[in-house]
Amino acid sequence: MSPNVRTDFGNLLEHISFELDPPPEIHRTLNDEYMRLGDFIKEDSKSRFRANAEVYPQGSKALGTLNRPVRATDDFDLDAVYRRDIERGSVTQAELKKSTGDQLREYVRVRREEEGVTKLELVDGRRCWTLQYDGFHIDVLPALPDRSEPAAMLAGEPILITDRRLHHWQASNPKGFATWFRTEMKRRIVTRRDMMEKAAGDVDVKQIEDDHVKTPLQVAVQLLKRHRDIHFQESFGERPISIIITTLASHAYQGEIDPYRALDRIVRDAPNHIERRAGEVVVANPTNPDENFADKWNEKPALARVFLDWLRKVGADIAAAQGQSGMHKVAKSLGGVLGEDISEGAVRRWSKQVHHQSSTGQLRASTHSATLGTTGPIAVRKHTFYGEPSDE
Amino acid sequence: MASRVTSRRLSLTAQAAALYRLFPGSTVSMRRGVLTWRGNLRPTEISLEYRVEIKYSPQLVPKVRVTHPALERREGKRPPHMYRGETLCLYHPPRREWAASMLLAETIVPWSSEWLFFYESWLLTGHWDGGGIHPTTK
Repeated sequence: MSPNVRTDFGNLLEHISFELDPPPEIHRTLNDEYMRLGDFIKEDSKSRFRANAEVYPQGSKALGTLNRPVRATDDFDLDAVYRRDIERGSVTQAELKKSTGDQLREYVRVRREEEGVTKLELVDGRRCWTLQYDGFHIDVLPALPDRSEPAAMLAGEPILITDRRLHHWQASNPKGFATWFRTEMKRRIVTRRDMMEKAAGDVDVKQIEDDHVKTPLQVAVQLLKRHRDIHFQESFGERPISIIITTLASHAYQGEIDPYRALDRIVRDAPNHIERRAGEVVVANPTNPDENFADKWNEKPALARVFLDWLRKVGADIAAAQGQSGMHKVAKSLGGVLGEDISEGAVRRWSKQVHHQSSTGQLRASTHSATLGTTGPIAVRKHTFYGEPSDE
Repeated sequence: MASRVTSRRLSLTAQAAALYRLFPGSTVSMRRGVLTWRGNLRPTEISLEYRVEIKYSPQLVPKVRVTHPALERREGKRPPHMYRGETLCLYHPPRREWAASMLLAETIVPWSSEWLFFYESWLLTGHWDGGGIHPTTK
């Protein structure tokens, strides 16, 4: 199978990833909230701290791999970095945390009292502050710029964040990671997010930045995370963390244009990118080799085994689904491990897309089996299904 | 539209030729003025392969049946857009979507594939997302 050809199984996987995205209204609300928060912090920090400060998304929101929560009643889980441009020596971790909290408390007050937002609360996490909204929360992590010499050699924006005990500064670089990830995923760009599907071809980079376009790597990462969310529902403490999944997937991804091929490659090859250095298991931050995302695997060696076993199960589950005959059976099999509602939603999404193609004269059929698609020698003429509704 | 479109009805031979050309491996037989086409359709790579039969004679409209595998019911109900649960309803006659001047190979056959796509979708979701209309209830 040519690596440049898309499969229908890959098509279905992609529709599933669209179903995993936050719905458009929520997507808009999230973007809006990040912007408002950023604007407030920028302005307020000038007077309050006489310093510049910036708030920006990190994690899956920054990478375009944000999934819906498993249960409709659960929150969307978002992350942000709060970076205040002051010297490392000028403040302790605890002081930074507290003063950031005071500022965020004011933000909450303004949003509630002056702007009429009803559901917004500030909750004290251990090393972050959580802004709790209706249906989502943003974990805001206080940080300083890392102006050390080693950091000066790194791409992106190295920062210092507090550890869980508010004791030590830890090096991090979420902007660098996001840039790295987006570079890796751009190797092959394919699809549009909305219903009007363009033929695969060159895509405006800006559309990728704005998350109007989804890449096979993003699709694969979303599916992996979803499988993990469902699989580890009863054993939350053992679940592989997203940054490890995302990093290893990006290393393994070879630019496959088809989401199934991409996922298949990632499942097989990801374990080969786990390193061993001086007896330690390492999944290094690609933008900061001294940061080990898998440090917990060295504290609890069973976690590495859990990860590998889980990844093998992903491979087996995908193969089992792909081996079914009939779109309804394939989708049902995927629904068993990714969620029935998601799988059904994906089939409905695909169906509406085919209907749209049919009613706008874009639908084509192949010779031999009349397989449907947007290329193919036979134009499917417009028509209207008729006849009885479904009945006994 | 004032002018009447003169459309020449295609012969069974012409219909057969197009069916063979576009769907090699299918069979066409002609007996007493009735053309019977049997072919295997697979709407997507992950769909089942369905054996479809079309019976057509110029005085009558094409009749399409899925002969294998048997069409399934969902929660006891038959699929929508069928006539008496036996033949597929692929077009709306008043809209002149099909005429004897058109090739079956370019209309009825791909429409059948499309029907099968939405049928498998309906089996899973219970929704027919292919559009369509039903006769108004009396």
